[in-house]
Amino acid sequence: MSVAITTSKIEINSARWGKLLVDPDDIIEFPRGIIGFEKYKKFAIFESQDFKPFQLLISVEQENIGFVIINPFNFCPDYKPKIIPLDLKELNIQNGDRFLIYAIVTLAPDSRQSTANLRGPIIINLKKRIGKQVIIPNEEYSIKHPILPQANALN
Amino acid sequence: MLVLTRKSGESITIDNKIRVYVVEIRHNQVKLGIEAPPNIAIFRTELLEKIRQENIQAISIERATLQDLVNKIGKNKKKDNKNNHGTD
Repeated sequence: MSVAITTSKIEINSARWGKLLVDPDDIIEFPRGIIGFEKYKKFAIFESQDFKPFQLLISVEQENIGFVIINPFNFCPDYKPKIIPLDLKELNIQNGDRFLIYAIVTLAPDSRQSTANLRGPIIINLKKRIGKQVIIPNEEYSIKHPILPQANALN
Repeated sequence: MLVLTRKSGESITIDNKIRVYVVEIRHNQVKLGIEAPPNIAIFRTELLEKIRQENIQAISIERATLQDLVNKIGKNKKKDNKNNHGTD
């Protein structure tokens, strides 16, 4: 007799994004939460062709808690964040492990003035599904880095 | 808040694990040195506070604004592609 095992998806009803389905295996643990939102420890990433290149990082515990995120290399191809050993340890990143880097986006009423936080990126250990918002020592990167080149933004 | 007065070269010890030294006092600036175990994160307070405030702002997402930004990025890409074509 064969048994089919299906992981039932978790449903998140977001007022803003509608019904979202998450596979429990895709949930990322944030042991320290996100800065300012430390009590939310479980997040999932959602993407859609509709808002590419952006993605959403949404709490599976409280659907109002969500962030627009973006891969910073999209607009800062030379981004070189220094990640301190303490953070690598908390993320359980060992030599050679791959990790994802995202920046949290702050939308502005004039969308052209929207910025991304390159000083406090989100680092995700994909294999172990652990995430953290780290603060990098690089003083050359800003908390409010413009997403659109400001020259173009004037058009 | 515990308030202690220290001279240059003096220090305070926290929980027998963290030591804060007054390295130098010049004009109205104090240079502090901190010895702490590697599992303790140390930041200028205002940096942490700025990131906290930025996150709070980032949480209020207007979907229309996001869509608008996506469209503008799309337009920029088209413009760049157009500029990359050579002349016939």
